[in-house]
Amino acid sequence: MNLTRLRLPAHLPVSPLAAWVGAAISFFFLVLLLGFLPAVARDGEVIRLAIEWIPALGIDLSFRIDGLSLLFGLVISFVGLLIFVYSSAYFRGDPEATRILIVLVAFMLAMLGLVLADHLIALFVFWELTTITSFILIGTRHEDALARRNALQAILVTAGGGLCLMAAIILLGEAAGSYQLSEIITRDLTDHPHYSAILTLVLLGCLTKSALFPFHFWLPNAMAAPTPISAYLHSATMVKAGLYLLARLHPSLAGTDLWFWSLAVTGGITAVWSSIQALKQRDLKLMLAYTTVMALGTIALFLAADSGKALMAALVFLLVHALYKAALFMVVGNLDKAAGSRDWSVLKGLRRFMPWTFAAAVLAALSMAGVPPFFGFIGKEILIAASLAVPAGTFWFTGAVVVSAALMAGVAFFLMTSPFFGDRATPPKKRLSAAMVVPPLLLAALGLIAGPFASFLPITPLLQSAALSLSREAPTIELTLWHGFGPVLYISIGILLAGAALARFFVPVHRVLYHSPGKLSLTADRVYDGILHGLLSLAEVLTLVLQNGRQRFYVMTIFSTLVGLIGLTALNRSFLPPALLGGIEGIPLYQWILCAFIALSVLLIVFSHSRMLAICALGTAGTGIALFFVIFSAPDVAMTQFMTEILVVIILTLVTLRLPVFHNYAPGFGAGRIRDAAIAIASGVCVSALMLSMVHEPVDLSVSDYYGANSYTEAKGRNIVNVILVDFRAMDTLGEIVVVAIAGLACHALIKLRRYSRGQRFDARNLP
Amino acid sequence: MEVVLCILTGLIVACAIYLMLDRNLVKFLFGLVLMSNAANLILFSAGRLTLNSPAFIEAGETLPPEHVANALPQALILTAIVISFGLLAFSLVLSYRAYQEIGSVDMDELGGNTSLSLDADTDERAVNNTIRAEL
Repeated sequence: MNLTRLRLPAHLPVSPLAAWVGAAISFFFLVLLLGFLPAVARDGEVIRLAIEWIPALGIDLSFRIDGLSLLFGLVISFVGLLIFVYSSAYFRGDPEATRILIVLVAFMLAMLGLVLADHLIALFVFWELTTITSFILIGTRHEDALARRNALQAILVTAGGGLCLMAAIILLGEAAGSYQLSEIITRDLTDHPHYSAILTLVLLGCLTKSALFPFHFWLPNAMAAPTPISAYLHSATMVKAGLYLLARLHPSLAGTDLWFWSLAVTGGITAVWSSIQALKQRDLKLMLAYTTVMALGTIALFLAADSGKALMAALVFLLVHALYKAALFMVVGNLDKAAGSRDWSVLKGLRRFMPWTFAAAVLAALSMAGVPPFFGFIGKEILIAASLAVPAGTFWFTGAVVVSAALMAGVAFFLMTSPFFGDRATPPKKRLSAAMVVPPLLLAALGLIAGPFASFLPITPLLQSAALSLSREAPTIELTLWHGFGPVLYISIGILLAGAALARFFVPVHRVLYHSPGKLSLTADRVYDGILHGLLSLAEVLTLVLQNGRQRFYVMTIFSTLVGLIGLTALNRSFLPPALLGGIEGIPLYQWILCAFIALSVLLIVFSHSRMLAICALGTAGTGIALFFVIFSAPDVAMTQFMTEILVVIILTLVTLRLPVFHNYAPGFGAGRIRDAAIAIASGVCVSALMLSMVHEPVDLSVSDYYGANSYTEAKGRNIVNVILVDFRAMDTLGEIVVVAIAGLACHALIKLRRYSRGQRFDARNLP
Repeated sequence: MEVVLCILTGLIVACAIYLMLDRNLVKFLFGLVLMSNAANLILFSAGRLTLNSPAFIEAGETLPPEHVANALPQALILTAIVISFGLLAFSLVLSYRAYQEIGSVDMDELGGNTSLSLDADTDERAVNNTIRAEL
């Protein structure tokens, strides 16, 4: 069905029905998952559900709900609900809205499947579904070349990682002896001989999906998508899929130096680098995109560690981030819709005109900055405390956290002030409906409520049971605002002060960074472009070289390859044709004469300068071969060979006489012909050698014996060859007849074509 | 005798390829005929050679005699002969028509880009123009 047919007329500013369908679906899943909350979070149960899918391959569609799945599932369905409500107003009157929202619903379902799946193959299918829907959604504005390019980049990077993940899944399943995650996470695979390969492939899959260094470049480009999609896919959910899988496999794969350092280095670099990049942006949405990459890096950094404290910190920060980041994206979407710009240097003084959006921005940004009593403050305190307690690389962890958190605080303070304060004479063009204001406000307010009431809400047991899914060591962390005086508090205050100072001097800092002469010329984006361009050029060169339309070149390539491959195999196996002389004793003279006759005829074809002589030699060679069949007990073959040989000679004569006389286009015996002769002789030698080694081996007669034994008893025929053709392999013979018939028709058509084109160019309309 | 057949087939293959590499289209067709013959001989040798004992079941018997010729490769060769005849007939007509259209039987004039160009756009445009002109 063509989805674009569903679009509503553009002049009708109705809110799309699909948004409300999506909201209803996400609300259903939210309630469903909340129903599991008491059992999973309080009692630590694991709920499993399996549906047979491909029983022959041992693949079933099994789901598993434990703390980690539930945490992700709740975030996906809750943020999804708000995003759909928001979309109902955002896409109002958009002719593409229904198409976009249907894909968005599909994405949400795939994402839920991904985090709830127990079987690795099912997980992989959902994983790829999120990649594909993300591609479609980034390319929503497909009339824009840049959007198309960015969508292609996102799918090439993430699907490339997906291929690695598939390899990883197969290795993982074989190593653990099961494809069920419930089984795999009970095994410690760090001693497995394939451990490094598994880990490398898993990391490639997860780093690309979650836009971590060095694959971080696709995420800011993915901001070509409309804002609700960026808020949902590229901030709250899909980019967390990689982190989810890393967390999920933590019990089986973590605990080695390889795991620790690869994630710590990647996460740390991603966090710091992208926070600096965020300061360079003028587009508020791009700024948010870079802070998302920073958050992903921070979570990856803490997944590196093996302590319950660090894992708990990663999960808390994940939840904090999901609450404030989606809200901020929606705020930027509101600014864009109302004031028509996302450039902070243009947006000023909107406080009075958009009070509720302003309130949402303030609440979300304070949580992002980590100001008490917001939930973000708890998240940051836990990060700092965990980074101080990391057994190895404490400096690296703490440094990365402090630097990125301070920069983030600066960005957050800037975000909540710059667009809203200052002078503005004219009110914004559009008014926003409640559906665009309530969702960000609700999300941001949750960040405020979750702070002081973290211990009362089911957040703490949920996070703890999620952390328990990652590590056997039960984390004993209280989510409270006040931990007493100590280094953690001082660092936290320092971060806030640094952030405030940065926000105060944001514009000069931005200018310095923006105009810095040290702007790296070698960005990952350009490397990607270079690789893509190189790949295309290579394909082009290969096509031009290999598919150059010259028949002789093709023949040459094919036979040179044949010679090369046979020669290499022969050298590798130190293959030598078996002794030659053993087979030639006792051959009667008439057979020698026949062979010599054939050989001479064939050579005559090659060296003859006359067409007719060559055709005659072709006929004698064919006849000689027919005689050969007669001697060696193949009368039917001989008969057919005689018949076709006669026809070949007649037809060749007829056609060749209409062609120009035998002209030698390469007279003499130049370098070209020597090369041709070398290829020809080498191929002949290879064929001879292969045949010699074949006849040296014992022959397997079981199929022939079967035909011989059943020819009369089953098919009532005494000529076994004929019985095979018309009875045992009758369908083959039918196919052969069809081929000949088609060849005949094609010949006829080719000759007919001439008649119509004589005197005029061919035109299909002139055909009868 | 198998050993001699192997070497003979190698010779036929070498001659066939040499002919197929010739610039003259007619020689290419001769090479094609020879190549089909060589392929049949390879099939035949795979079933081994048997003197004076065709794969027949005597009247009154239900089973073939001991050491009868291998019938399977013969059936395959029969199919192959007919198919290669069809192929040859089609190639001949095609070559004839190509000669009528182009006026040459020089393989190098029949097609192919004479110079390797990396500029696909211009190439494509040139091809499109040619097609348009043809029509």
